[in-house]
Amino acid sequence: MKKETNTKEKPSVKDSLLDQWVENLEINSDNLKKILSKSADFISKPVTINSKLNIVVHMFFIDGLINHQQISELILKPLVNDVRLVNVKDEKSLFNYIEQGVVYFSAQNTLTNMYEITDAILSGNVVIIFNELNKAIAFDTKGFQMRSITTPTEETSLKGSKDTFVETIRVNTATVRRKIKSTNLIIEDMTIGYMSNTLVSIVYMDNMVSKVTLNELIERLKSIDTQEVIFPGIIEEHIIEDRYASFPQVNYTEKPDKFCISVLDGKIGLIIDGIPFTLILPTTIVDFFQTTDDYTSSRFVASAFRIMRYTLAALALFITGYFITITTFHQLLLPPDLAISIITSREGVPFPMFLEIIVLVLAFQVLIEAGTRIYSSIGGMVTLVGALVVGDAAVNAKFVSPAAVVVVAIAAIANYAIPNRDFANSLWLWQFIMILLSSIIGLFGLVIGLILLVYSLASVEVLGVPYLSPFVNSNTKDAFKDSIIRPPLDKKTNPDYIQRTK
Amino acid sequence: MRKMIIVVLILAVIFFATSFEEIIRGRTEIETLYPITLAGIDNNQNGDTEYLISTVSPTTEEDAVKPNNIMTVAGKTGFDANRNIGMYAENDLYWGYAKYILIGEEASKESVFKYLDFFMRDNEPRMTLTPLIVKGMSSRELIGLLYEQNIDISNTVDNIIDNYAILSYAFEMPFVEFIDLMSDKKNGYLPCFELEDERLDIRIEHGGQEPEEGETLEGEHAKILRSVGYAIIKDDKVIDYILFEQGRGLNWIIDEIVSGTIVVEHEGVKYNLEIIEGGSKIVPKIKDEKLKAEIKVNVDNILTEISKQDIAIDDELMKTLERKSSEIVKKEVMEVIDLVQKHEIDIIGIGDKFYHRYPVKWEKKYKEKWEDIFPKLDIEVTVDSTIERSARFYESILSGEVK
Repeated sequence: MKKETNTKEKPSVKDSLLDQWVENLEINSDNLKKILSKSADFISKPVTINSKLNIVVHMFFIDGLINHQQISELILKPLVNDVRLVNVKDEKSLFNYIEQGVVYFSAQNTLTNMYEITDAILSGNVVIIFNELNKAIAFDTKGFQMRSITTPTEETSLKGSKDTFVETIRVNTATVRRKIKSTNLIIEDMTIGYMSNTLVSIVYMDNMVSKVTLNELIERLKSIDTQEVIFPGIIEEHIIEDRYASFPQVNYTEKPDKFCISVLDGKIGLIIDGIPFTLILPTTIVDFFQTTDDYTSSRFVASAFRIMRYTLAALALFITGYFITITTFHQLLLPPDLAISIITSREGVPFPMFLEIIVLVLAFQVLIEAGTRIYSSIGGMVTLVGALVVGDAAVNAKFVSPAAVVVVAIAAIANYAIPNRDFANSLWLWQFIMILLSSIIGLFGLVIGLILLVYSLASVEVLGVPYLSPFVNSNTKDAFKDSIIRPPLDKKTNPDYIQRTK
Repeated sequence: MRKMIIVVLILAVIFFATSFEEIIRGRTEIETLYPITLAGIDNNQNGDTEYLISTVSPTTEEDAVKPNNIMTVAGKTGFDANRNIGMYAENDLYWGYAKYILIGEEASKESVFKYLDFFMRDNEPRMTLTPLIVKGMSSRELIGLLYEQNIDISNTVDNIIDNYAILSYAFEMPFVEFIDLMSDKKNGYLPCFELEDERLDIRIEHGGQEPEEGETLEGEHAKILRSVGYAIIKDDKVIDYILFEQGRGLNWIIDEIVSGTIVVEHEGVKYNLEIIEGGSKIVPKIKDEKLKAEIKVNVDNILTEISKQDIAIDDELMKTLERKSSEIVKKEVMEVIDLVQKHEIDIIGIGDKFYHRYPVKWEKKYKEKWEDIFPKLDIEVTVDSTIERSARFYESILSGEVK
């Protein structure tokens, strides 16, 4: 519904102007001005190229998107000074000269309609319109301020490369090219969003990628009918099939090395202009437990760490619920000494165990949320005051018992050890479901929760690849090679689902 | 989506309507439990409430002086006594963590199963209980005396049972095994405990626990709990005890030896042997209608101490030590055999061995008469003791530098 109204809101006057393209400089120039000149940063300027024949052209650009020095040195100077242009017979031959490269500029295009012209101006080109010719020339003089490549902040690695993606798409594609110098590396461009006209690059290895998956992805990208792509979430929501699943179905990374490893594995990468995070597809559950450091440390250490991550995920998911069941339903599962120390620690606490756990789990998340959103100068204070002062006071005031604090803290710390934040947050959500279920019917609730979780995970497919791959759809030993155990790197193969659909 | 909301609403109602306790059945907050770690049962001389149960529960207040809470309440039956305790307990009685059930001397001499029946039949106390016999006093007295000394009773029993193996005087008998042993003839044995006065040769101080004002842990009040061996049960009643080395004698026969010490005296010098392995085998034989059992005991020792220094240890001495240690073990075993034959109870399982070896003959001829045969049965004991490692110095370490 929303989309349709948006489409209707497009200004109709401009639409009609966009279709007009006549062989008259003044009219074309006026039309262009009508379309764009409301904006203060839109600059139009007449330039006399040949005073003998009195040839005047109009130059258009958006201030701030272009490099002024390039325009004066490399475009205007030859246009005005070149001897060949001074001695031309008419405007048409002058245009031909320019088209053939009299102007010393590598990225130039000949444009023939208003749509192309407005697009070119808006993406940082200088466009020159000629009189009596239904053609224009665009010079790609992009020269805006961009953020330099910095070290990763969201994903840290010990021995991997320290560069990150930035907001500018061409810098990002160049970064990828620098790492994969292969003719098989294909970067396909696509524009998504009828307002924002955001450039999206699809990056893949031609010889590795599963064509079925690639075509499916391109189809889905083409079908996106949206106003703007300012956040990657819009693209993600259109690509994924199961919108009710709580687990992340697209893997984001800001690290080019991780992106390149995935692309070399036969996966497909998406780079979106303006977003310093890239998307990797298709994604399976094992991707969320792997880090680039797995491939730089000893494979035994890396495998042990991976197993530990799986264990910690299980711990983060179940420990709080399990604690509730063993303290309120199945006390015999506790060793007597531990039971007695829990009883001692709960002496005088008025709330039931499940309420205590729920409040603590929420409080932990509130602390994190507050710490993330608040500006960094007092972010540390929030955590400090929250964790130490309030936490300690709550225990002393017998609002919560130390045993519950310990258990919730174990769950929280185990949760932080998951490399992917999106995945960890989903685990947190499921941890909550486990708590609710187990406080109603104990261990049975926990088991019901587990069944629901497995059901939910097993029903998700990302671009046709089962989310639990390779655990659910493979019966060869090779398919499990790089899942839980990190194999020797010379024996590492592409994921099973890519090999089978290639 | 509407379905989801309805499910969430239902869950929320169930979940947050906690004032309706009935909705969530079986939920018991852990701090509302009164966990019993050890219990004692005695007979009560007073009128018709003849069962007396004493319970030991750890204190859960942080600044408690005593490590335990104890409660003793009588009842017409064990179950009745249990419910009566529940009346006075500040929380719900919880038997799940109980590990030991002590049976007082009087009660054990009256009938063991009479007093254990509640613990065996009811579902509140688990079958993981271990029954123990108290020698020389009632379990209530024992618990009371240890309580006065600020001793954590169940922990102390735990420690003693954990350390059984180093002397092999007695071994833990799980409830289920005990019932199995007793099921046929109501004859058996159970490990027994005794509270001893502090003497010169035993003195144990429990550090870390402050005595109450005006109370002393030393002198005549101090009592020490120790395991002394086995209580022999005949026809559901404790009739005798086999203590210390005798208890080890029983363990030799039932093949339960783990470790222990044997002190051999030879020419005025004491040699200490450590048992590192022991095993036994009962071989039943029927020859010309005459029954005979042979108990073969194997002992592996190491020589760990000699009371005199300049002794040259040679093969001859080793042989002598092996022979003498065999004699000691044989004496221990024979004492037990004499005792059980005297009491006419086959608790060492020789009848069983005959049944397994000669099932047909046993069923036809001997099963019925076994009670008459057993006291006069010819039981031969052979002990083979070897010293595995002798720490042999060819010359004494005091003999100076090696030339």
